[in-house]
Amino acid sequence: MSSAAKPMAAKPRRARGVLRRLIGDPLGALGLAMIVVTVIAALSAGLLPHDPVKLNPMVRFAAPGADHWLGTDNLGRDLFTRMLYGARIALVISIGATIVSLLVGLLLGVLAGFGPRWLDSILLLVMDAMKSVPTVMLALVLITWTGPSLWAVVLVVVLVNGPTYARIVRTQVLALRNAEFIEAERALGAGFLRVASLHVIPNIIGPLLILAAMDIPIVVGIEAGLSFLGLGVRPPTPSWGTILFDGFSYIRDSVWMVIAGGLPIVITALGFTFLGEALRDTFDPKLAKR
Amino acid sequence: MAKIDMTAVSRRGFIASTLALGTAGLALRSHPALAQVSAEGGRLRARLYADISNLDPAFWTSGSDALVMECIFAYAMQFETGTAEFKAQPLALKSITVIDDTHIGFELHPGILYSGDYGEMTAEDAKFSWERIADPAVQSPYAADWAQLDHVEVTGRHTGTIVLKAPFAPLFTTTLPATSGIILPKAAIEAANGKFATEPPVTSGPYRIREWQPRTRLVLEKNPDFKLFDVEFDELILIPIEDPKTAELGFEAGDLDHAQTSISSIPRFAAGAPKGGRFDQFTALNYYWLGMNEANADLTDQKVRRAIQHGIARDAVVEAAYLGAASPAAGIIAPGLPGHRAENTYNYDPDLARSLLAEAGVSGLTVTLSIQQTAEDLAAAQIIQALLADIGVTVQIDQYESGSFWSLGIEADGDQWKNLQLFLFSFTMQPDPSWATAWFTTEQVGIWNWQRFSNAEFDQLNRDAATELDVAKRDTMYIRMQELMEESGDFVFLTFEPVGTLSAAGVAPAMRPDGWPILSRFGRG
Repeated sequence: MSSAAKPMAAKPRRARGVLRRLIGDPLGALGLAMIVVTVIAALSAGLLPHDPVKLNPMVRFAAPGADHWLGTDNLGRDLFTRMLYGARIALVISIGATIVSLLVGLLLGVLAGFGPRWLDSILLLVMDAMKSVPTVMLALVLITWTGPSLWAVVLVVVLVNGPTYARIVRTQVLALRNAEFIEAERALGAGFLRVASLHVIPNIIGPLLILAAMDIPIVVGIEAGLSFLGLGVRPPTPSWGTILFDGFSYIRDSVWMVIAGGLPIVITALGFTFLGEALRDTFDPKLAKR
Repeated sequence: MAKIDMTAVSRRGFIASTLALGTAGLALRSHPALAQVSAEGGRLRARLYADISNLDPAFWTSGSDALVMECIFAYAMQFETGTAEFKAQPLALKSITVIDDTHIGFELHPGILYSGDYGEMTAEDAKFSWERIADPAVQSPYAADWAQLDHVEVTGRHTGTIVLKAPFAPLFTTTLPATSGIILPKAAIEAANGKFATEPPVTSGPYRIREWQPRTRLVLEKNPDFKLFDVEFDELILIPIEDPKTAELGFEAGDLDHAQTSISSIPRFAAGAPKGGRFDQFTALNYYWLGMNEANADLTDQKVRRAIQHGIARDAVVEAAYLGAASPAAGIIAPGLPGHRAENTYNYDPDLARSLLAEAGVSGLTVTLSIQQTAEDLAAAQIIQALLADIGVTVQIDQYESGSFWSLGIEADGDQWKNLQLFLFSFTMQPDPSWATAWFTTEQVGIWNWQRFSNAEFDQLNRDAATELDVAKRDTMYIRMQELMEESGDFVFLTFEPVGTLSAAGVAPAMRPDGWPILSRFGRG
């Protein structure tokens, strides 16, 4: 075996080790299970016999039964189907927007950390300015401007979370950029891109992923909150927030809409929170079991 | 003393504790039916469906404004409460005499005092206030309330004569007993540079404003100088709650003493009011419709608008939105008033709708439907969306909070009216058909006429009907006007909104026949 193959073989071993530790931690295992259930639910939504947007007012507020496992809403739509399709929206927005936020944060943070002082100052100013705007107010302004849509929600999340990640990346980069191994790389002629992609980012991605996992429930909450307020995905697209709004409006007629909208939010939020906690413990043993 | 070691609380422990407490909270939460509902300490807590935005009789904007104005100003006349039919009685006016069709004599009660240093209400004030609204230079959206006013003649400190250019049927139904009859002192309005909004420079009614926290609450306190009738509650706390479902929950939790319910909840409350409270249902005058902005590029072709009309099954929309509590309407004038229509001139016909679109050369049309974020509007909008999808029209639903919604079609508020396409609208109404039609004249385009409907015959009929005193003739004229509205394709008449109200134990609500509360007349009972 060549020496170059050794580090590549070490990566799966390390990943397996992380997974083993996660599953070994009851909180991590529970979180992972909750996320897996949500993902399976989202993927299997298309297999259900009911159309999530087809109206059938004749069977409105139906109680759970063989035909409608969670009953129906005020317009006679199958709640279980809508809940599962809502999982797709929630996961696509939360994971998608978090990944975009991470990439934006990485780019801005690396630029600020490695760039000239004036660029650092400008980016810092922009990041701090963005952080100072309350999320809800930012969302209201943006969505008034762009109109409610799935993309508008993603944009809100990126603008809210991107600067946070960028600041963390910048701090890490500043700490690393004068490290001996970086200096050595530079002395050997490595350019900015090589140093950033091969040496800096791999060293800071761990904490960022933990942070991202912890942020996903917040993004799920933002999406559901905006949809609850009529500022998220447009009707009739099922979203947990819109299901919850219907449930709140007709809670005296049927409690099942609140359950169909609220329970998956709780499960997803707890799942990602538990997973984030367990990941933190895995990557930072000093914090474990505190 | 034992110390609490905060560092001993682990993150995991915190999460576990929070979960346990949350679960326990859910399990132990008190049942709403156990909540106390009663007005205590001389306070009445009532719902406003929107925050106040303008309390000037010449420029008010919402029913919430009018509700508050009835508390802080002494109306010239006021509708009786607890009656089945509308009967207006003089209030600030001591007497009113019909001299002939165009001359109406009046006398004010002496000793009605304004707040501040504005002294006593006089006939000069009546002349100023009524002529102000009629004055085209003031540009009041309510000028139509005094459309036939020639002038007011002052004959004494408290007496005068209203001189009309022509007989004016709505004078005793929607002008003098409503906001346009409010009398204010000239000096106060001049001191406010001609108009005001949420800070009235003067009040004269049974209550005065003590505190206003925008979007939170408006507190009115009893005006000790008001002598026209006895006021039961020392304080009115008016809480803006846009969503009626939220208000219902607030009432059931004991946070409100009086609230209008959502229409879709009427069947449930009619079957049984919350413990300790009472539920009343009224046949309202308010009308609800789908409007189309004919000035929008996608809707300029009348065939497209008529196709949308034919593509909407009104009974399905009303049933879904109001859960059986309301019936489809054929117009904007409620049953019992001259001009009420029993039937439409068209039917739900999706095949005809598709052929009209084909004739117009339109395919793959996408339109936006603007609504307020209420459960009823959202349900109605989704039914409309599904029905129009069946004829090949894609509907995107845009939801707005009330403040943003109510400016969408107003030209003075910006250019957003150009993008407005379909919208669900509801107007409050006074008991005269002229109040229903006044908002759809050419003069109202860009103000309250968001359809931008403009028809010369309609405008002429609107003027003529207001001066016609023969009820049968008025009936024919107003029916024709609604036919013209419908033929334009700009309107899909949906329903007249019934009103349900909840009142706490110990509160005797004072309601007009249409379910409009006169809060200053509320008593204990």
